Amino acid sequence: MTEFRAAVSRRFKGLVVACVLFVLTVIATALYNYEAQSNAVEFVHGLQVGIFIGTLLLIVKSILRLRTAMKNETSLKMLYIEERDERKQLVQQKANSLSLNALLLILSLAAIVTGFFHATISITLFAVLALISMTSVVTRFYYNRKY
Amino acid sequence: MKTRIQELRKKYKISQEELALAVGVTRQTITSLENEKYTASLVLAYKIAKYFHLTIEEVFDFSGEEVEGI
Repeated sequence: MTEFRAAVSRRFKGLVVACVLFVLTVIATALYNYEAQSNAVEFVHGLQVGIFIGTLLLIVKSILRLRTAMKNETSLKMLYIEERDERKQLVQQKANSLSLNALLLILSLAAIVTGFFHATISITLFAVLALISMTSVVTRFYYNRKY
Repeated sequence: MKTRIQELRKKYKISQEELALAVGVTRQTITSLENEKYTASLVLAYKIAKYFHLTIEEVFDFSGEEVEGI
């Protein structure tokens, strides 16, 4: 449990640093003096701010959770169990694997269908598909060597 | 896989929560084991058996798992 406490402490510090960086990024993004060329550009700018704020909220939630765990021995043990539970890990692995396959299938179909209407979107989707597939192959290779 | 976890818990009047905490898993994992929805890892099986002062074979039913020996 001492090792886990040290790991939690390290994660806590890392998240605090990430939180500060995100606050600065959110402020910088909100203050960025962009020229509204079209509705689409404005929409993307709104999305950027939204994603930053959403991520920031998730970081703050994690910080509060870790802080509670560091102050209370029972909460620390509960967090330990929550994170190391083998059934949860299996569920996570299965969900990730299925999601990846579903994502690859949907992306392939979307890339083919959009090819009939818009070449740029189709090429972008094919590029994303290639990137995800390559990442999958590399990680599979890595874990095959590891275990 | 069939197990005697529920039977043993009732015998010793132990809640799922208590057993889960003792062997380091969530209560849902104990529920899944009792409902035969999940098969425990070797380490977890060992911990549960040790908790009840029994062997793994006395807690978990391996009758369906056949292997040709040497």
